[in-house]
Amino acid sequence: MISIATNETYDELVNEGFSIVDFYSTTCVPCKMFSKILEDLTLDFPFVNIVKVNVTDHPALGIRHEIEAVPTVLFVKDGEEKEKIVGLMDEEEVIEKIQQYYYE
Amino acid sequence: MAEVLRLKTKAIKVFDYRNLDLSEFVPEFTPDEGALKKDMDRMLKAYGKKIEGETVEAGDMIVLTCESDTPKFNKKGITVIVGKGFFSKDLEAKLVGLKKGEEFRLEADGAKITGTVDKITRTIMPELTDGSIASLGIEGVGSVKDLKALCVDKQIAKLLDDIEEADMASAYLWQKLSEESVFELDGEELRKADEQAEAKKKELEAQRPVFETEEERIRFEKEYEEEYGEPYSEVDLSEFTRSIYRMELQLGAMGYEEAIRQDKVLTYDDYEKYIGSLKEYFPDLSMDEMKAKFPVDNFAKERYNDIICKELDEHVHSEFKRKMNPYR
Repeated sequence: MISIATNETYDELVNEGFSIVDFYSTTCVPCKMFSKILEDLTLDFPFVNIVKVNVTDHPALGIRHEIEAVPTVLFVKDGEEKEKIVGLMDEEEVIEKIQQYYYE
Repeated sequence: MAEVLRLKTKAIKVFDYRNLDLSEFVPEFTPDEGALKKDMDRMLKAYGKKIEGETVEAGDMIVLTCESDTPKFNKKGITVIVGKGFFSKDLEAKLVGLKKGEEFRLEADGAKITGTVDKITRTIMPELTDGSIASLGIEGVGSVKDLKALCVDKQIAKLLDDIEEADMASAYLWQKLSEESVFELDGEELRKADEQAEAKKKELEAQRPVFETEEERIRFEKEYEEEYGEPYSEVDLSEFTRSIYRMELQLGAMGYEEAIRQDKVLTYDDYEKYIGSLKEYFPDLSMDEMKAKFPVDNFAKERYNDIICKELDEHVHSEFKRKMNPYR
């Protein structure tokens, strides 16, 4: 499921289960490519929460998570940040992270 | 209300570039059948009907509780897609045939595991027939062939991000649009464009190689041809830069009129924001120095030009998809 986070809803969205948080901006081309990858993956992994944060609209969330470039991806399990990756990831890399943090 | 950024140059007659043939730019393309199948499965899955299963089958999404001395298999309420192998290929294969709620005791990946399958969710995929696909209500998809075309379009779109042919086709349209349309050029804007062209010409001239001897020149030209596959030639930079900056002005004027139609006309506030966004890259410059370095006229001309470039890119992508996609 894909959710759009705001300053108010972010914690609630990532608090439970496994989440992939996508920090993006609307003018960033790699962000659009990554967004398509995540859309495809939601069909293979419907139990993973995809949380999208527009850092232009919600700079406070960007500052809080020390986002210096987009796209940046956080892998979060039950509210705990497991890893932060800066830059575009391909589908296989995301699947590896799901295996690493959700199943291991 | 903030001051509007306008261009005085006008497009009197706009050339219809949509009828130009782009075939010479379109690359050879064969769809990846494996990726096509995967994409079609995904799309159909999204429209599939979810039902509760009683016995585990490959492809089911199950919720599992298991206990083991091996931490990986000591989990409560973990979701697994049976047969994908993302959790454990061995375990997933051994779960097939188990009933919901049935306790199991088995060995997988060298670990002894006990547990239960708490929930089984099965997706009943739509039939791959024209009637069934048409009933899904996917925009522009009325048959299996349309669905394949849509999925192959995705492959082409990814490819177009990486290849230069689409950019070359857009540049060709940009030039044709400028050459074949009729403009009423504003004297002052034209003078500024020519000034910029002259400055650019000097910048490019300074980057040209300088040869001390004839041998050096010959060696450079030989290496250039080996690397780029064509002879080195020094184009007339005056003509080149002047035509580029004039085209930019002309297409900018066209973009300004399009911006009016789309209610996207820029204001001085947009320019101020743009300058502000550049500040971090030039921390030593004052705002006035920044504005002198990035003049408002250029900002307006480039942004309005972008509107036309975006339109041309969209046309090129749509034409490429039409010509490259065997299902179209």
